[in-house]
Amino acid sequence: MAPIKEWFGLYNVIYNWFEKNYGYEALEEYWMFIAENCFEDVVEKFKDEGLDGIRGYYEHIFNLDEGECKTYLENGKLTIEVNKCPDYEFMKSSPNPHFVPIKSYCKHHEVMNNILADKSGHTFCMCQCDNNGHCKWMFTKKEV
Amino acid sequence: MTVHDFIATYNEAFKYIEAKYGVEAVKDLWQTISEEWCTHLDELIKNKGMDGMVEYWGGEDGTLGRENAEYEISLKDGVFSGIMHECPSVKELHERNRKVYNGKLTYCDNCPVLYAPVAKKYGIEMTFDIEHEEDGECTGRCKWSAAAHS
Repeated sequence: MAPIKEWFGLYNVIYNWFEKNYGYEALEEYWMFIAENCFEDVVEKFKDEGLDGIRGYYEHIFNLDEGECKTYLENGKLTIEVNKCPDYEFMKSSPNPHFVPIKSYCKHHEVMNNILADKSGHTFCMCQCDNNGHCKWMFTKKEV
Repeated sequence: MTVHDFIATYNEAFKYIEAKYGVEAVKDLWQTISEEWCTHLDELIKNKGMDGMVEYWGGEDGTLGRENAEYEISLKDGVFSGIMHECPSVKELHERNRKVYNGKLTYCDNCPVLYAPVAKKYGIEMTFDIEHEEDGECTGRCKWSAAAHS
């Protein structure tokens, strides 16, 4: 199976459907459900390989999705600077009005990464986000 | 989220929504997707009729080719028809050891709800014949056809 970029827009349509019909809290609960139930292999990778594994995973994903990010791993902190968010790149390029990212679109990264980090013994921070395709993430190893 | 996880999360979303909000909510989501996401298909059918359907699914930049589906399509004597030998979505779910949505509706039921209404807008009736296993699970094989409504 090869994914298609139009699915970025479909994520937005689905998120908007949740928020419009059931409210923001319901949308967040949905994101939490997905993070808890769809990423077992990713959590295992993060557990086994630590910050190096997290770095490798996101560098690979951004490369596959034709996004751009810079990663820095130093002093026990992994910083990921997203300079070109593939989701936003696709949605901004489309004339479909339903592909205008909903205001809370970027929150899904924060909600889901928090769970993936926690389950794998790390912490996550969405330290900066301009809601326009640029953000800064930070992962650290949880202190025992 | 990356699009590489889309099918797995799409499948889980149907199970989640049916469990939490009921099967009518699943149908409502699919209808919303038809109206809000299928705009490219809508434009192609509006401008090119059934040639637009061929282009959407089977053209050089068609979705089925890009998704690496195993399929056949044809447009002959005013009938657009297709055979899905191996749906890439169902295949991926099996490869990722995911239980394919099989509740009051099934994963594959999303396609007719998404696409038939778009064709209907332009006077084209589209029907699907979806294969299911004995327990109701999608096999990943189906046929479809579309013709101008007489």
